[in-house]
Amino acid sequence: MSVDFRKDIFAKERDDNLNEIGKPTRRQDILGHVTGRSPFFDDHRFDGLLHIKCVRSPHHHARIRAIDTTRAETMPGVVRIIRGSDVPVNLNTLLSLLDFGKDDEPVLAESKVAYMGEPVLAIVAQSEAQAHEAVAAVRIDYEVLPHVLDVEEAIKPGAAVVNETYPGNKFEFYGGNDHQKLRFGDVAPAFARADHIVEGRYQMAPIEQAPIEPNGAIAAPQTNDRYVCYTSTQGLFFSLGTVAKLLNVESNRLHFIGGTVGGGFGGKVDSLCEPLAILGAMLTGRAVRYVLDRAEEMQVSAPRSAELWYVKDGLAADGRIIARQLTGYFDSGAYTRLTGYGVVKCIGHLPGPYTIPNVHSDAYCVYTNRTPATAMRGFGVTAVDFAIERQMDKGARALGMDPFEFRLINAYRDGDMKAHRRLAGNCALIESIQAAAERVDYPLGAEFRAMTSMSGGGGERALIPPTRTERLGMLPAGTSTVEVKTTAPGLVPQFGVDLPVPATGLPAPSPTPTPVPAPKAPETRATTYDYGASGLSAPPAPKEVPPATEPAALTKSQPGPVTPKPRYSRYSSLGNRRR
Amino acid sequence: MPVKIESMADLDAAAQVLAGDKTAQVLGGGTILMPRVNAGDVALRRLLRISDPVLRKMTVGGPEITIGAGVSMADILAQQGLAFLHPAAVCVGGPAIRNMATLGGNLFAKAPYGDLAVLLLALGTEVSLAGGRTGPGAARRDPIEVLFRQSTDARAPLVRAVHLARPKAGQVQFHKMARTNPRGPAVVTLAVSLEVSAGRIAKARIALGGIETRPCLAVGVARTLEGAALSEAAITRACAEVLRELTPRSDALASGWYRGEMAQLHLRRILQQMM
Amino acid sequence: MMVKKPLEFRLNGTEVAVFADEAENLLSVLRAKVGDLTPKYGCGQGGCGACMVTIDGRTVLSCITLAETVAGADVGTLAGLSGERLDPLQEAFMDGFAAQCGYCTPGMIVAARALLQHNPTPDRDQIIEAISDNICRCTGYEPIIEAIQSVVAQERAGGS
Ligand SMILES: Cc1cc2nc3c(=O)[nH]c(=O)nc-3n(C[C@H](O)[C@H](O)[C@H](O)COP(=O)(O)OP(=O)(O)OC[C@H]3O[C@@H](n4cnc5c(N)ncnc54)[C@H](O)[C@@H]3O)c2cc1C
Ligand code: FES
Ligand code: FES
Repeated sequence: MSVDFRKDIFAKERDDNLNEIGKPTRRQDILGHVTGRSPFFDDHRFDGLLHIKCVRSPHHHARIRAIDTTRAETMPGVVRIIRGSDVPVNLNTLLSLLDFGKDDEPVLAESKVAYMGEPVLAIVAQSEAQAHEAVAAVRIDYEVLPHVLDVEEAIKPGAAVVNETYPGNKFEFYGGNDHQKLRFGDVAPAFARADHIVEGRYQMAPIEQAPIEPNGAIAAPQTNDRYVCYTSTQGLFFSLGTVAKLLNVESNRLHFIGGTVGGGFGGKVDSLCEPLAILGAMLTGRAVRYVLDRAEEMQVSAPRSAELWYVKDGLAADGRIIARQLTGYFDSGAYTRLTGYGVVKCIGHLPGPYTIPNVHSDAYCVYTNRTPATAMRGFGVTAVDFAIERQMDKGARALGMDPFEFRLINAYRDGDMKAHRRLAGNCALIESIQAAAERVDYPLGAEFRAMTSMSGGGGERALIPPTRTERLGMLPAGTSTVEVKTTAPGLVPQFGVDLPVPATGLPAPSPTPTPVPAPKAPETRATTYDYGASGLSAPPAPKEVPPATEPAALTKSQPGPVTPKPRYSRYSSLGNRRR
Repeated sequence: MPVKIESMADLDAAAQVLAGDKTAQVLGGGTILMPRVNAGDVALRRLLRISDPVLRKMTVGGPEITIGAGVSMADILAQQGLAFLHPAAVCVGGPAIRNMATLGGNLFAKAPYGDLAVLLLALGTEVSLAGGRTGPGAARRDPIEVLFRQSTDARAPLVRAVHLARPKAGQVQFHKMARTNPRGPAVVTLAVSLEVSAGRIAKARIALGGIETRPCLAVGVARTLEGAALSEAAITRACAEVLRELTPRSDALASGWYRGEMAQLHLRRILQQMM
Repeated sequence: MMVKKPLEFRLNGTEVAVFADEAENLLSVLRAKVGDLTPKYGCGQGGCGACMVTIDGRTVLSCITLAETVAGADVGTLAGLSGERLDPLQEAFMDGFAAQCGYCTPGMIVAARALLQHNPTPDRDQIIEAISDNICRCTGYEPIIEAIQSVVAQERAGGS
């Protein structure tokens, strides 16, 4: 397959005469891969290795009345049965390390289960087969509760409360907001004057990342009162911090070794296995291995969330989209993993790669009694892109236009203002569509073949329109962010409006490039702290707000426009990079 | 008690064990049973490994073909004399699966598996069972569909071999529709056997996989064809009968509605090819 | 007590003798008992190909092969492919970026080598068919197919 490098489009963006970037090079780890010698977590052997299998909920939602392990305890090979009460801090939320969300998920359920497959007990045995036998011998008395599996049902009054931490079944974003908003211009008058209104409802199923290597970890006591943990995690330090919190140990007592990950795609950031493997090693004094089998990987390791979207477009007869309204519901499953974070990413992606002067969007992160959902490639944007592109096809049909040409008319040009108040740069959607059409001999009109993303943008199209907000009414043209300033708890908040975005709309490049350290062995002793990869390499700074959104009840005032900066070096742990 | 493996040299002795212990099962190539063993399925207690060479025997030369239940897909594919079975045998998993998967196991595979079984059903195959109620060595034969109607895992009789007549050239057609290719579980599998005499269809057998848990015969659909010449009108009549006779099941691969559509589509295509 | 069954076979030409657990699969015996870590666990269901090995030259999924069935047989793994020098397939996988995370790679190369053993000049469709037991989630199949094709071309050129 030949790859067509269209350097002309990005000529301004990068220097093509670099020593490494842009030049083919062998992967540094590939000799290990082709000889089967790359050390994956499960390629470490220990004498007397013990194995964990979990007793899991057969119900979507149930109260645990009683757990009877009498028979299981005496079964051959069973060394220890771990209960929720054995976990020192049995409540966490994955992004508590970023101060995002409240602790809501136990490692092992104690009082109730909120999804099918939720772990209740971890059985440590001499072999996997013996652990399986013991799992089957446990008796749990459940009181089955009403459950909810649908996002729209879940937010109706009277719906089953999935997660007591969020009684309304909606995640709370920074500042206590139950959804993320995007407002740009004013959709209502635009819909009123539109020649066509096109509406759609789009639904995407959860998708399992399905790395070929499953989630797993092996932990063992070391002689110096520390524990070593070989793991498949995508975020070595992320998992380390999570375990330190859950097991209430100093993080310097944990020695994580990983970095050789057999595929992750977002499915290995949840630190599902490390806490129990290490706790097992602590409780038994022996090496303990906890690996999900494929059925568990499919059923209980977190997938990309399901999404439901409503999209309404106002179209002008000449093919322009003059208004777009989107309402989305992300299905977080029973607990908070990374879905809320995906919603934040999603809102910055709307309304898709098209210049639309009036945009209105609300996106919710909803709890249901489904498997908790987490990150996956194209985190927060893939499913809504499906909705948007189906909507584009519908729009083209309503207008009687060619779907390629309809997209070309609306595609971003360099210099256009995006709805989240950044100027578009090196867009190349137009060129990509033209190239795709050319490859499949799709006939485009001459006018469309002549289009380019490099001209026609900016000017009028670079302006931020006057914007309607629910709380503040009309904001003047050029306004970028809105803030709420609270002087003291209990006082009526004051609303303030900050400055327009800088003229370029893009963060200025740093004058002195940050030197890239050489890759190091991905061990926690040797590398600097980071949050791993896959959508976590550049986390938003805590308490900072993406400028696109309207943080209606933020409690702290900010000193001006905020540019989210990665707080942790992307390069500090190359071995953890996404694969 | 974890699962126990017992090796047995004699087929009929194994049949005795099976008849006496509902928890015992035969191990063929293990492509269905071993995943269950690995998953710690506690319903599996006793697996019988039978080394009796009769299970691996094939008689291909004469008018009647006999294939032992322990013959693998790869063995069938290596036999030019069994070319009429190749379209089904070759679509069971990938090459490594086919090196392991046996004919006997395929007869007991549940949807979406059992591709070869569907073709054998259309061909009017008979099965001979070992021991059990009929006594050691008794060579009782049943039509293959009896197997699909009765057997649940635990009570499955021990199959010794299948027996079938070599079909005439052009008598049988097989289609498998899967979502991924070249390897993938079936949405629907269809096999059609038409015996034509004097321009009219004397006998039709239409077998489907994926529709029910086990392969099934569409007797009503076949009846619309019998006695008629194969024409577009006859094909349309046959296709219209499919959903009157069958209620396709839904699973993660496909809804019942989609299966029904695909069954009709592929039936039409097969019959058009046979025209 | 768990039943242990003595088991002898040849692994990449060398005799090995181990005790297998009751109902233990070949993958587990190879990895935990013999210490050949080149076959990988991906599913335990025969569905991914990461554990692929050969028995008497034919590919099987070791995770669903009952270990005791290989008594007396010749088992081949990726570890047996390269001695002093790498197999041309290994070189081609390196050059062609045919491995990303590398977890499927041992199975892929075992499948490809078994194909070339039986058919030194496969066409593209035969290559696709031959690796259809093996799932790769990262690399995409195209670089893998191209790497195998490049070895076919190389061996054809070298052989003529
Ligand atoms: C990745 C993968 C892909 C697959 N793809 C397909 C496919 O595309 N099409 C398809 O049809 N199948 C497929 N299968 C299923 C399976 O491989 C085949 O159906 C195969 O023929 C089963 O045979 P086996 O010998 O492996 O069965 P086993 O696992 O050994 O046995 C299966 C069942 O049959 C019973 N049994 C076996 N032999 C006898 C006998 N002689 N008498 C009585 N009972 C017996 C066993 O007791 C057991 O209940 C696939 C499996 C896997 C793992
Ligand atoms: S681990 Fe054996 S096929 Fe997946
Ligand atoms: S390289 Fe990761 S699965 Fe193939």
